[in-house]
Amino acid sequence: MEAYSHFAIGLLLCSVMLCGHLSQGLQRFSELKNSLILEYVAKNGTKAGEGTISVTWKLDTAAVSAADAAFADYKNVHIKLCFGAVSQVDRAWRKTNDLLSKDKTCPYEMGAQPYTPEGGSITWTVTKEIPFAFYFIRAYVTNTAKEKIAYGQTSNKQRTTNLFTIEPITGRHASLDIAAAVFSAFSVISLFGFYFGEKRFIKKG
Amino acid sequence: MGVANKNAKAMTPQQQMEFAVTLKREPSMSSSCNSTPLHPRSSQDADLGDDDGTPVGATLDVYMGDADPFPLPVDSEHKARKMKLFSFAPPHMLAFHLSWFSFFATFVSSFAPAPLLPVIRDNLDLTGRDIGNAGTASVAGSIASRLVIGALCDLVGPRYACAFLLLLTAPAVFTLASVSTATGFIVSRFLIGLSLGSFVTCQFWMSSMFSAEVVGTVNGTTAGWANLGGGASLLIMPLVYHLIEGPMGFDRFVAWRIAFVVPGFIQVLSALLVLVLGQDLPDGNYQELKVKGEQNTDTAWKVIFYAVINPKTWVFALSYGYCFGVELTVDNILTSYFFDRFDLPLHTAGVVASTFGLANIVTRPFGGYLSDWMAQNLGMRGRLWALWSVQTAGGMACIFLGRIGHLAGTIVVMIVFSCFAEMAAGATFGVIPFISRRSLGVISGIVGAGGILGAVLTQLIFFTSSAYSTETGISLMGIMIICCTFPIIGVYFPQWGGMLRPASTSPSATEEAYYLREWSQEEQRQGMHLASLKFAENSRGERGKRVAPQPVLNPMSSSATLALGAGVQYKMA
Repeated sequence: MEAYSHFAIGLLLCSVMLCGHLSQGLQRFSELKNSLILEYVAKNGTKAGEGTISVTWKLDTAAVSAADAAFADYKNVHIKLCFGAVSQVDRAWRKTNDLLSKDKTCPYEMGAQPYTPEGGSITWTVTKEIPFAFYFIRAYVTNTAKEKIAYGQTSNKQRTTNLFTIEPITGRHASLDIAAAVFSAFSVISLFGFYFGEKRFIKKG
Repeated sequence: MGVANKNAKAMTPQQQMEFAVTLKREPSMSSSCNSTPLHPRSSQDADLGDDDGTPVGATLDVYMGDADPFPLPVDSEHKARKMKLFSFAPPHMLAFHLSWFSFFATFVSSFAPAPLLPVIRDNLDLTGRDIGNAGTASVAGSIASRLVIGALCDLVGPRYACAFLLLLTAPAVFTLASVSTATGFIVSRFLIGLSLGSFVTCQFWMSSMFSAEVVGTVNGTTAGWANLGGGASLLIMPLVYHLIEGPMGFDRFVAWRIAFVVPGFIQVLSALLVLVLGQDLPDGNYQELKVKGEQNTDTAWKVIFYAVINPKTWVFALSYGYCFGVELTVDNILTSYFFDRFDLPLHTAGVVASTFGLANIVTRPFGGYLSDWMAQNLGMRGRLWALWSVQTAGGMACIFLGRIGHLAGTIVVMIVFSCFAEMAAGATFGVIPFISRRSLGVISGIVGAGGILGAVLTQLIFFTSSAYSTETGISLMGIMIICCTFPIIGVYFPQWGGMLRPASTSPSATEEAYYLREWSQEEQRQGMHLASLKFAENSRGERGKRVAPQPVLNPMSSSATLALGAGVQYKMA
């Protein structure tokens, strides 16, 4: 009986640990394999809304052979735009966290492609929601269960080299500025209008 | 019905009002301010001219005859003695609703950027430091404006003072749409924050419209409901933003700019309603009434002097900074806290964080009510204990808030913290009216400004630098709340006692002695202190149920005897 209970507890513990290990919430960036090589074309000051970035990715056969990649179930490649370290300073909402579920380094997805050993490329038009910052590009490889298992990036480990900037839209429009000016003028004029109008009205009446 | 008699006419309007309020006291009646909300005063209305000890020549209700009866019972100054919450009848209740709504609008504008910060910080490339400074700036301006606006109210009346503030700061709200740098953002938030000085116009207008019996309840209700603006903007702004960004299809960086038209409009609309529908006094507007009647005005310097030298002013200015001020700071940081730490989507984070400010609808008036309820049995000592314990409990809840790592627990503790902090704010203004009679206005302004200063300091110390995370900052803020509430233990009224010390048994420890010490012999000879004397008699309820020593003889007092409902009699030799 004792052996049974020991065995049951052991099994329970193992399954818990296994589940924990496999669950995405506990996955860490440091556990991912750096197995992709990325090349990109992006000018400094690429304009949001108009400019394009092209990225080419392929398997780094020196790190992982094609057979190993197939065995590890490389399924899809997601290419993301990520903040360089200099743009994360004093901005806690962009912090890098080794726990992938809490990591905020790479918020913008540029594209996703199925994995092939020959590699692939995408061309992405910068969307208008991208703020001003220094960026690099990272590609994650996911398996069938949609967990990240490998990556490749254009910058170094500290995210300080090979950074490029994107010029964002200002969000301002001439029509907005004019509307603001008109409403403000109305507000001020109505105050003084009421005050002096009432004064005159009382004098008359 | 009673009619104002010749004796009454010889007195100043101030004295008339005080006479009107001196009535048979019952243990359930607290003194002037912060009365039990909507407590029926039927016993007072019935008492007229019988020997219950009311002074000779006193007036109770003034009936205008067939000329123009007010919809509410009024005193000799035509200030309403009751509050009818859902009435919009001019002049009293209409002024009530206009007043709280205009103050509410300034809260909405001042806190409107907070829930949209995740979008704004990307558009303007803000750092954590910029955001902290902007939050500080948004409340810093109101410190100066609260101190100054009292003078403006005296000059042009509360109606124009309120409209002045709102209409001149509305441009700052509209031009947020044109901001493109961090500096521009900080300056805009500072200018918008100036509008929070409408706290003073709100309280001033209510004090002009409602008599001392209900003015505390009215003040607490207007302030509490206006504080909702902080929470309401956390609900409204993300909704408006998503409407503009989604169905209307604007870009994110354009949508937030357009969204600020909404708080701007609300502010302008409420100011125009105040101008068109409101009136300064029950009898009319300042400009009309300035011609008739003279007022027994005090010297500004004297009033400021007696406010400043009273140490209680500063104790409560500090403690108010750590109940109300903390509430403002949390309004600023809470949405981002939920968005960043718990990964809630923006809209949801706004809704959850808004419950903090929205609790004001009941918690702040309840704080005032609690203060009154404690005063029934324990007098001023009860009020002080209520305030200290509620605020300290809030501090402890705040320490926990920073420590909890999961969402459900955080929400629960946040609600508990909001209840305690806002009750403390309401309870503070259950004590303020008794600190001084002569300098009540200036003290209210200093305490109000102290509240904002507390918000500024807290934002600067704990949430601006990146030295510690937001959750650590929240816990440290809780410790600071407890420390800054400590001085209340030292507050002592000789005639009523303090938290730890009972009232003095010396025969000179009376309400009259306390309130008359602010008037010099020369001023008393001129009769300037009569209002304080009346107030002193009315405040006898702050002794609770304790039997008091005989009050000091004062030849200028006109009460022969004052009968307390509890059966305790005070004979004035």
